[in-house]
Amino acid sequence: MKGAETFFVDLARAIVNGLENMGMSALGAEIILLIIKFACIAGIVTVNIIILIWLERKISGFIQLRLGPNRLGPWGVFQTIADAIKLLTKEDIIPSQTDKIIFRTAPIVFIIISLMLYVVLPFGDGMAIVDLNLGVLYFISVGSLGTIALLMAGWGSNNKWSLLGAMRSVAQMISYEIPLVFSLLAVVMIAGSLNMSDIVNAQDKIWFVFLQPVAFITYFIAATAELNRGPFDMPEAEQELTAGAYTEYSGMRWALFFLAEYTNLFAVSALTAIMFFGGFKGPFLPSWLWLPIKAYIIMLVFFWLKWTLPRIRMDHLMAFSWKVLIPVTLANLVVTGCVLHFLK
Amino acid sequence: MLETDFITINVGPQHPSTHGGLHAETVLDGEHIVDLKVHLGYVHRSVEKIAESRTYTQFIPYNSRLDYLATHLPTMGYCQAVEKLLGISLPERAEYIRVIMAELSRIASHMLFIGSLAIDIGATTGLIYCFRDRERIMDMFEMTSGQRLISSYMRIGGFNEDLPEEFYPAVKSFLDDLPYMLDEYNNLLTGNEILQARLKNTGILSAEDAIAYGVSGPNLRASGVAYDIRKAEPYGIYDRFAFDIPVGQKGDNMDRFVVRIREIEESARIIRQALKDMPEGEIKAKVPRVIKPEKGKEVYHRIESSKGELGFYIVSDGGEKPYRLHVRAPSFINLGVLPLISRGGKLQDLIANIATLDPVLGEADR
Amino acid sequence: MWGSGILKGLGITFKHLWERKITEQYPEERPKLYPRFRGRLMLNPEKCIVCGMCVKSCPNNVLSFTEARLKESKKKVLTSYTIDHQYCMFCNLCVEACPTNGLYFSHDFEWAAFKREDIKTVYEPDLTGLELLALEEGEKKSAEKEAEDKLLKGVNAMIAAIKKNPARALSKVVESEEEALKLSEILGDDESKIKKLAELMVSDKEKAAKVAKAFLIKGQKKEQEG
Ligand code: SF4
Ligand code: SF4
Repeated sequence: MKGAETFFVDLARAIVNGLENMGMSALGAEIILLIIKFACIAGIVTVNIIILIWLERKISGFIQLRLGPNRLGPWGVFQTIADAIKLLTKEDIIPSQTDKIIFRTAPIVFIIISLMLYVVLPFGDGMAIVDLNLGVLYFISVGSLGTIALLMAGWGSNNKWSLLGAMRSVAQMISYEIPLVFSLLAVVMIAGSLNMSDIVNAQDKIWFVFLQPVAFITYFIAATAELNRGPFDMPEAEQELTAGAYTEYSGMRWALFFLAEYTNLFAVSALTAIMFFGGFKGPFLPSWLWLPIKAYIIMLVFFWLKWTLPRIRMDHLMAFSWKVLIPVTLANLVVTGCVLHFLK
Repeated sequence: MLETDFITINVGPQHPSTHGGLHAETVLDGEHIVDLKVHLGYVHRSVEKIAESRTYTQFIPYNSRLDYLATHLPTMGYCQAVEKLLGISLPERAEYIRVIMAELSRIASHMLFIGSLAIDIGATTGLIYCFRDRERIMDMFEMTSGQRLISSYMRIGGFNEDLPEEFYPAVKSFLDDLPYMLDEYNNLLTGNEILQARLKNTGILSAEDAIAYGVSGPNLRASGVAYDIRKAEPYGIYDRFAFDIPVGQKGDNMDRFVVRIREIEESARIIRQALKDMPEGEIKAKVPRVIKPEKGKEVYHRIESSKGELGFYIVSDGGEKPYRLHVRAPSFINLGVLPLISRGGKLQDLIANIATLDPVLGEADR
Repeated sequence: MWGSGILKGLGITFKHLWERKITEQYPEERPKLYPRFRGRLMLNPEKCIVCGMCVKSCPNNVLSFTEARLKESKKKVLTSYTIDHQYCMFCNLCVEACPTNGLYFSHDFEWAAFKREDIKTVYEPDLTGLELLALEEGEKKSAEKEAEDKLLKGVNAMIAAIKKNPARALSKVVESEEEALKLSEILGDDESKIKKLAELMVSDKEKAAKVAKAFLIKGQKKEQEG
C-alpha cells in the first residue's frame, strides 16, 4: 500500500536522481522532469477525454432509454476513437469570408488554455506539476481566458450565428466569474491559503462542502455556466444558434473545441473535488486514485443536469447571476468572515 | 454614444428548430427581435393542383401528406367533405372508428408538440419520452392500416378494413397508461421552473388579436376563447360525446403548452366513450365505384384538426375529378401571428413561439 | 418552493437511467410487424386476369402491364407486369381494387438499392408452350396512335417540300415570295429549325407564321450586325 501511495512521487525522484547521476545539473534534470510531466498530462487528458465523451453519450443514452454507442468494441467503447479518426481525416474547410488567422488560432488557443489548467491541480499527495502558492487564483484567471478563444472563434468565423454565440459567451462569463470567485473565496478564507494542496490538507477532518454548503451550491451553478454546459450552454445553443460559435468549424478544428470543452469539464470537476470534497484525501485507495474518482462522480452530476433541464433564457441567466448569485455569495462571504473572526 | 446596428439573420429554412421549411427573416438588436418576416413555400408540393388530376378516391392518400403528424385528421376532413358533396351518410360503426382514429391522431400530434417544444428549448430528454409514448399510437396505426406515419385508412364512405382484434387491447392499455405518461411530462417539463420562466409571459397573443388574425385551434383556446368546431358545429358524431374545451387565460406560450396537454386528456375521454358505445355492423356505406358528384355542386367542410380549423372546399364539375379543391390550412393562418407575438421578445422566445404555435409546414405550404 | 420542479425532473431522469431500454437493436433484433403491414407490393401473376383495375385506381402511375391473347381460347394473358416502387405511396387502393386478390403487400421492408431501376419489379410469367396472338390490329392501336402516324407522314412530306422548293412551300407562312426566299436562306440547312417549322406548319398554321416571322427578324438583325 505504501508503495502504491507514493509510486509517482518516487518515480519522479528516481528520474531526477538518475539524470543527475548521469552528470546533468540539478536544474536541467528538473526541466526534463517538467517536460515529462507535461507530456504525461497531455496523454492522460486525451485518454480521459475519450472515456468522458463515451461516458456522456452512454449516460445520456441511458437517461433517454437508449443504449448509446454499442457497436464498436464492447459497449461501444471504441466509438469515440472512430469518431476522432473520422474527424481527423475530414476535409479541412475554411469558409472564404473568414478572418483566416483568428479562425485558425481560436481552437488552438482554446485547447492550450484548457490544458494550462492542469498545471496546478494536485493529483495526489505532492503530485501537482507546479505547486503554486496562488494556485486557485491561477486556475480562475486562466480558466476565464477560454472566453477569448470563443470570442475569436465567433468573430473570426464572420457568421452572425457565431457572433451571437460569442457575445453570449462573453456576457455569461463576465457575470458568472464573479460569483464563482466569491464562492471560492469563502473556502479560501477557511483554509487560509490559495495553495491547492494546502486547501486539501485543510479538509483533513471535514470536507468544506459541509462547512460551506451555500458556497458549494453557488459555486456549482457558476461553474456549470463557466463550462458552457446545459442548462447554461448559451454559446452553443444548437436549437437557437445552430452551433453558436462553432457553426463554421468542422473536422479537426471542431474536434479541438470539443476536446477543450471536455478538458475544461474534467479540470473544473477536479477543482470542485479539491475545494469542497477533500481532493485526493480518502481512505484505502492511494491518493492519486481518489481525485479522479471524485471528479468523475461530480461529472456525472453535470451530465445528469444537462440531460434533464431546458436551457435558460439569456436575460434570466444574467439576472440570476447579478440579482441572486452575487448577493448570496457576498452575504456568505460576510458571514464566513464574521464567524472566523469570532472563533479566533 | 457608441453607434450600434441591427443585424438581420435568417432563422431557417435550414435551422434545427423551424419544424421543416419555415424561414423567418429576423432583425435583431442584440438578442432582441426588432422585426420579423415569415417566408413560406419551401415545402410546396401543389397538393391542391394535384387534386384536380386525381379522382376523388385517388386523392385520399395525399391528404395525410398535408399534416403528417396527425395523419387521420386531414383524411377525415377530406372524406367527410366528399361525403357531404355526395350526400351519403356513414354506418354507425364507421363513424365511431373515425372518431377513435381522429382522436388518436390528435393525441399523437400533441405528444409530438410537447416533445418538439421540449427539444426546442433545450430539454432533449423530453422529446424522447414523448416519442416513446407516441410510438404506441403509431403501432396502433400500423395494426389498422399497415402504415405508421402517413396511413391511408379512411375511404370515402367509411373503411375497407375493420379494426383488427389486437387493436382493442392496445388502445385500452394505452389509455390506461396515459395518465402516467402525462404525469411524467408534467413532472419533467411543466413543473420545471426554467421552462416556466421561459414560457410564461412570452409570446402573448390576446384574444382580440387571435380572432382578428383568424387563429384557430389550441392556439385560439389558449388565448381564452372557448371555440372548438367539435362543439360549435359538430361534424360526424361528435355531438354524442361529453368533453370539455380547455382554455388558457393569457395566451402566452405556457398557456398554449398546457392547453395541449389538457386536450390530450379530453381526447382520451372521447376515445373511451367511443370504445364503449361502438356498435357492431357495417363499416362502409354504399358508394358508387366511380364517384361523380353532381355538376356545379360545391361544398365547404371544416373539422377541428390538431392545429386548428381545417377546411376543405371542393367544387365539382360533374366529372370523376374535382374541378377545384382548396384547403384552409390552420398552420398557415396561425403562422400569421408569429411576427406579432415575437416582436419585442428575445431570440430565444422566437424559438419557443414557433414551437408553441405548432405549425406543420407540409400543411402551411401545401 | 422554487427548485422543486427541477428536482422532480431530475428524479425522473434518474429513475429512467436504470430502466430497461426501449430501443430496438435493429439488424439483430427484427421489428414486430403487424399482419396488415404494407411492405413491398407484390403480384401473384397466376391470379391476375388482366382486368386493368389496379392500373386505373393507382394515383401515381406505379403499375403498368402488357398483355396478349391465347391463340385458341382468345383469353387474355399477362406478358409482363411492372411495379415501379419508387412512386408507390402504399395507399392500398390497387389492392382494394383487384378483384382476384392478385396484388398484396408483403412484409419485406429492406429494399435499399444502388440504382433507381433496381427498385422496379417486373413480372414476366412463363408463357412457353402457349401460342400467343399479339393483340389484334386496331385493338391495340388506338386512334391516337394513328393520328400520330398521320402527323409524322405530313411533317416528313413538308420537310421534303421545303428542301425542294422553299419559295413555294414557305410562302404559305409568310406574306411575300421574297420573304419566303429570305427565310429559306436563314434556315439554310439547319435540320432542327426546318423540322420545327414543318411540324408547326402541319399542326398549327398560325403559330408557324409567328415563328417564321421571328426567324426573319432574327436573321435581319444578324445581317445588320454582320
Ligand atoms: S399502393 Fe397506391 S400508389 Fe402503390 S401501386 Fe397501389 S395504388 Fe399505386
Ligand atoms: S386488378 Fe388484379 S387482376 Fe386486374 S390487372 Fe390488376 S392485378 Fe391483375
